Amino acid sequence: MTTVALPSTAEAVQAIVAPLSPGELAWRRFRKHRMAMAGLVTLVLLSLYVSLGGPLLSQGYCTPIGRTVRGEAWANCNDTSLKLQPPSAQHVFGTDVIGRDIFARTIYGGQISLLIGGAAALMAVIVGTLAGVVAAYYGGWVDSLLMRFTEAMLNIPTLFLLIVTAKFFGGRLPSVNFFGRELTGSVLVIILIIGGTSWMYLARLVRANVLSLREMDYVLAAQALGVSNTRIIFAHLLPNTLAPIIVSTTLGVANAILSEAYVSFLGLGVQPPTASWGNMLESSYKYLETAPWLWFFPGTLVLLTVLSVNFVGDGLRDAFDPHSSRHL
Amino acid sequence: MIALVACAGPPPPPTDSPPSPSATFPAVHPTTFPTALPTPTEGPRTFTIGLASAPGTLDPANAVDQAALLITRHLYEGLTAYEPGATRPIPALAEAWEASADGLIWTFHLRPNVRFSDGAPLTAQAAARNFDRWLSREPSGAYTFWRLMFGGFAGEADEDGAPLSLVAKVETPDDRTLVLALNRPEASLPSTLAMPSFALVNPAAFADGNFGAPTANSAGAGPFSLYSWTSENIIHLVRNPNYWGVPPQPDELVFKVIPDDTQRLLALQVGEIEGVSHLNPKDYAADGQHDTRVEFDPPLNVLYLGFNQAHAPWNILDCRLAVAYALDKGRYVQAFFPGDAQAALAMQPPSVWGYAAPPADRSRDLARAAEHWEACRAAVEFFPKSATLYVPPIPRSYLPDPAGLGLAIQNDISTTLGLDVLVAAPDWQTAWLPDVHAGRADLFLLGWTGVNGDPDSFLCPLFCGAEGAFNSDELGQPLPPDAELAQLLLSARAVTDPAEREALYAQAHARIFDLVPAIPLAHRQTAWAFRANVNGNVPSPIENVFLRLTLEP
Repeated sequence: MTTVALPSTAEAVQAIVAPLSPGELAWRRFRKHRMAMAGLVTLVLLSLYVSLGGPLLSQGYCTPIGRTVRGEAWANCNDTSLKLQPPSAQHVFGTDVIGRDIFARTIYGGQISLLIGGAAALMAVIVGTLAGVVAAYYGGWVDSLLMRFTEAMLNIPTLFLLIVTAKFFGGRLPSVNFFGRELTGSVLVIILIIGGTSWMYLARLVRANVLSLREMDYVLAAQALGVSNTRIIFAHLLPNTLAPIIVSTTLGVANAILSEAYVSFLGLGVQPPTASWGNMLESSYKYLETAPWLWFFPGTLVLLTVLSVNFVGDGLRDAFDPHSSRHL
Repeated sequence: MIALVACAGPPPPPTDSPPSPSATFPAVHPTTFPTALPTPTEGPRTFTIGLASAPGTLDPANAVDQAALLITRHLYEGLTAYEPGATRPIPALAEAWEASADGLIWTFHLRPNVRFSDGAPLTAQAAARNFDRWLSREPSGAYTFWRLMFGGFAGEADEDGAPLSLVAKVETPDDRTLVLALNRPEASLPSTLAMPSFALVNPAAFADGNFGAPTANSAGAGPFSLYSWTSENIIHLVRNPNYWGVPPQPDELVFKVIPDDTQRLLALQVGEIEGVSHLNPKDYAADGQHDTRVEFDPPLNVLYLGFNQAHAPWNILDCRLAVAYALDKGRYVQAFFPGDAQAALAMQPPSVWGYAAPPADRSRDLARAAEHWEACRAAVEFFPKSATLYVPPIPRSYLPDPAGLGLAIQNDISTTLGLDVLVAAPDWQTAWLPDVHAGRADLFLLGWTGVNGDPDSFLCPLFCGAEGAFNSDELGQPLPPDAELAQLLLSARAVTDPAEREALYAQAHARIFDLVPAIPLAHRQTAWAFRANVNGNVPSPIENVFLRLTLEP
């Protein structure tokens, strides 16, 4: 016979009665969103691929150097006598136009693409949120100034802005060390450029939200109590507008990864030999038909990532939406 | 000598090297001649050559396309010609020549009893009329090669008032002596005069405004004369009965224009034609099949990686050496050329005289690269964050896959030396060439074709300081990469003794090897395909002549 350990009455009552926090509610709704969960799992797998794939799987004998190399050195080892080899046991994803292992390059390119996606989205969120909340909270000439600037930025086609800034700033920044990996200045430039050209919608979104929030009684109360503006902004206004910010951030990650692919595809983005999924696509352009493995693997990875991020963003939007039609 | 950097401009002009039965040789030009020549046997033998495009004109002075230069080479001959299979000038219509000590007065002694194909005798006056024509551009024409090789036309002067034309005056002291007075010394004059563009024509022929057109009289002193040029672009040459030299083996030469690459190759495979040029690299694979054979002409070009010494750190020798040891020529030649190139050791191909093999081949050596790079880093106070590598945006005759090679070089420099290399490949005519010539690149991947087969045509256009690609001063004025090297090359222009010049070029090559203003990468060859039973083609870096073609029974 088994004894079933019953919860004590007090615990049971608490479990039933205790209301779910907004976070718990959101997580419950999110979990019910199947595509979002699938996206999240895919993202986790992709992160594992690009983070653990490097130390575990990226190694091989580099003929031009004359020894076995590991890590990024393997991704950059160009044995030109092996150029444009189709996938094989040695090179599971094949080799590129100068004989580098595409498998290793998708791993290291993925690090760059995901880093750019994350960092650029983060930058856009910080700039956009600050611009929006400051404009809405202070109003008056601050609002006019910030919003006219935002509109001016919006009026310039983003792609054009990206290309021009990429051309202008290309190669002007020094290399940086990021988690022990030396990144060329071009990565930093691309992050700044994409972040700097994608914050405008969020700024407007946040401003609209805060415009209604700042009329709330609790804000008036805080002001009456003499709470500083900074504290009102960060403690009262921002937490209440977190939902649109989080959703827009996730979507921003997807957009940033795509923007990086555009810009690198045009040859203005991350400079080889540093790989990114975007610049891997660029060099495959001439071999669309003759060497499909050049674009298939990086292309599929971009597709998977962007799709997953979008699903997760969708799930988050539903989860944070109090009026969501999805019930628990 | 003016030349367009890397404008793959004119294809190597075809000229010929007529076997000379005459025993009169200039003392300064010891040359080997074919002694025993097979005598033509009976029966008309016709050889048909497939061309990719029709000649624009058969006027040698205005011929610019490869087809026109190839055909006019067979119709006309100049004062000098190229040694068979090489680029040294040998006597042709001039049986000897000599230059004054200062290199300014050149006297050409014309071969006696030479007649043009229309029967008119070759006299010094007729030769001088040709020079007058080139100088005065009368009858009107572009005279592209004259401008390129001789600088300009009569009456033209640069900003300082110095005449542009190399030739100042043409004189004829007697019927068989032609004297050229030059405005500046130019030791490669005999080589230049061997170019098919400077072949002599009976003045009566070009006085006719129609000269060069399909219906006009050819009237040259070459081994063949024009029989017909049909509207289907079949150009039919027959032996010139008045030819002064050993009669050519073929009785008739036919040039047939077949624009489509596949059709042209097919015509060769079925035996409709005996030879084709402009072979598509993918067709090299068909070598040996269908009774055909591929022959490569020795190269007349050099592909190199140039350094702009006006930009730090490339003014430091160690930095340039480090790059030289980081690159892997052998692999590049295998990977980015369709099997028709050889790794380059010097800034001119070995097939051109004046070549001096460098003491060592600098190829990939990671230990040395690291050692020089360390010295380089130590020598520069503010090390630049990156280097811009200009890579041609479109294939060039000496570089079929610029993008691939650019990527490989970028990868090798970046991974070996840890320097960020940014590849730039803007539009060729409007941005690439102006940028590189104005010295805006740090490194550039470029090639050069030495038009007249003289070592000067390889080295001086690059290293005498005409363009700002290799070096410039603060104001952006072009400078040579090394003043002493430029001095050496310029002085070699004034030396008329070939042996002495050869010694000077050996010195120049040694200095280039030591200073590494550029890293020679590859020489690309031109492919021809012939029927397997056709013998007697003489592969030459500078010209294609079909005087010795025979058919195996």
